Amino acid sequence: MEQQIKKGDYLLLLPSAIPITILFILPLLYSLSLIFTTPVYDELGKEIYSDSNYEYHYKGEINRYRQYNPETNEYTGNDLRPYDIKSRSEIYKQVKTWGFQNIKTFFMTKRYRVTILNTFRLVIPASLVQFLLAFSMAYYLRKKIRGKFFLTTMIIFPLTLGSLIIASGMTNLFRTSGWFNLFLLKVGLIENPIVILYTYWGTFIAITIGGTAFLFSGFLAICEQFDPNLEVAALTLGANRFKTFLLIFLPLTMPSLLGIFSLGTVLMLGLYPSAVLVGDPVNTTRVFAVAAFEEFQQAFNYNMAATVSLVLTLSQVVVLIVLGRIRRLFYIGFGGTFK
Amino acid sequence: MNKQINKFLVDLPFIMIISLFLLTVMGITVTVVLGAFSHSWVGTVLPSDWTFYNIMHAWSFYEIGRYYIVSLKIVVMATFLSLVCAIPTGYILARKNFAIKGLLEKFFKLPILLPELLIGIPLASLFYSIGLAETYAGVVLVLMVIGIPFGLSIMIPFMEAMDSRVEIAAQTLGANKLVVITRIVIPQLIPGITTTLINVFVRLFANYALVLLLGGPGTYTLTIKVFSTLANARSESQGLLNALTVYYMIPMLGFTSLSLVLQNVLKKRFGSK
Repeated sequence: MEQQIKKGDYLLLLPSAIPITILFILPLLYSLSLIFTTPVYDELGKEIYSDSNYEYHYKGEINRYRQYNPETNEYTGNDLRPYDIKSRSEIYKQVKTWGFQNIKTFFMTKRYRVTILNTFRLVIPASLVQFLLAFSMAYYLRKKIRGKFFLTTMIIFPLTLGSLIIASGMTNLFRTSGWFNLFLLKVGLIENPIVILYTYWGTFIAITIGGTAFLFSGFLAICEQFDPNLEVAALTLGANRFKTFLLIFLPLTMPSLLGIFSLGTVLMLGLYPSAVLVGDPVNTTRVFAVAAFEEFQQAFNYNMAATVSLVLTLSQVVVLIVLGRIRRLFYIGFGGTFK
Repeated sequence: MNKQINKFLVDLPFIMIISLFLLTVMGITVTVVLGAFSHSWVGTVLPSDWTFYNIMHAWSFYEIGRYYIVSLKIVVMATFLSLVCAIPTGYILARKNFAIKGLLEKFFKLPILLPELLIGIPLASLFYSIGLAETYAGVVLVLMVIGIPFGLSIMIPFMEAMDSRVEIAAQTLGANKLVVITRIVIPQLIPGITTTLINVFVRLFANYALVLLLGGPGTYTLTIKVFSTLANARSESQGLLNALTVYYMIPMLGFTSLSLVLQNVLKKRFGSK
């Protein structure tokens, strides 16, 4: 039973609203200013600093920043050590310009541009495989069968483990002398061990394990809630099991399934540990997050790092829109039980 | 007879998929634990010799004790503050009806939907310029950005399930506001809040992106230690790395089983809808 709000109740919204606004909305706005500014470099590729009166240009031979007066166009002879400039960031600001330079750089430079292709090449097949795995398991386990609690708990288990432990465990299971290769060799399916770790497939398997558990935890509830009477009705009217599934079960559950699926896919676009730990982050699994962390931690280029995360966010939005369109193709109604 | 075979053939693909998936999941977990207790394990089904050396050595080599304490300090504080902020807001969002409610609910979902990088990078850049980065306060603050929305998303369904007529009944029987809150509302909230508490704790404990961006050598949690060790492993033996993973696995599994047990106990104690 919902009640009308009183004036004092709005105050109770503030404890969450204030921290989220300060720590989330403000950084987002700041992020835009990062994306649309680029540091200015001189002819030698060195950054330029400025207090409000003078500019400071680096001179390598003497390891000093030379004070330069832009109005008179000459050096004043007052030189500063690099430490004096860099340790006092409140006075000496790096000179930056506004513009779309970062976004241009992202799409012009190959090592940034490939992140889009690499991410989608991982996420699209992996999410389809996850959907099939999770849906078939949820469909089978929707009825009360023996050992259901154990099975469902074990399928959701990777969610508890998290991507780090999955990756760490994979380095044992899938190494060339691990159980996986040992089994295939014994059975005789392969003659030489397959190399899975530190390739595209390592990351693919890692995100598939985690993602399937995530999708399954949502899918199971949807499949359980589906009214079994609808299936019985179809069966008595002469449909076989496959037809019932295709014409009754699938269309009625699809919208809810796609809702969870789009959430899982969107979260997967930001993958990082599995790309680094069991993938090949220099080539095939150089995804958005890898490039962003590299810019942030190694190049200290916060502007470019923010730009990479903007492109990541935009790809999420695109995925959400596409999946939303697909979802609308299905009948959105109620297929649950009236209990 | 024919029918039974038919049913088995229909079920077979499902059984195969489930077993394949479960075998992989179990293989991942079991090999880590086995590997942690073995010296060398190459090309055999089970390790050839068993040892406690890796487990003992990893504790001091990776300073696990220190990382446990740092993680505990940061995550407990962040979880506590997130819940303090989220409980009043969650109560209003679950119970009251007002104009911008839908909009506000979407607003509170954004931080857990958008990539952590999008928040983390500008926040880190800001925090570095005001000196908050790499401090306990900075890391706790940035974890709250995830903690509050995640806490709300778990808590609100519990609060919506509470029957407000019970409170009205108590009031008509002569209870004042204080009595209603302490005797009716809080006992009903306990299961929901405990579940939220544990889930937020595990989620924040496992967070890597924000802590990696905002933290420093003194404030990296165990998650970061495990991640950076695994990512830069050159000379360490596989057994040592497995021991590290085991130390990381213990709190994760511990808290998750605690949450399952508590949920069952609380259901019996307080009842549920």
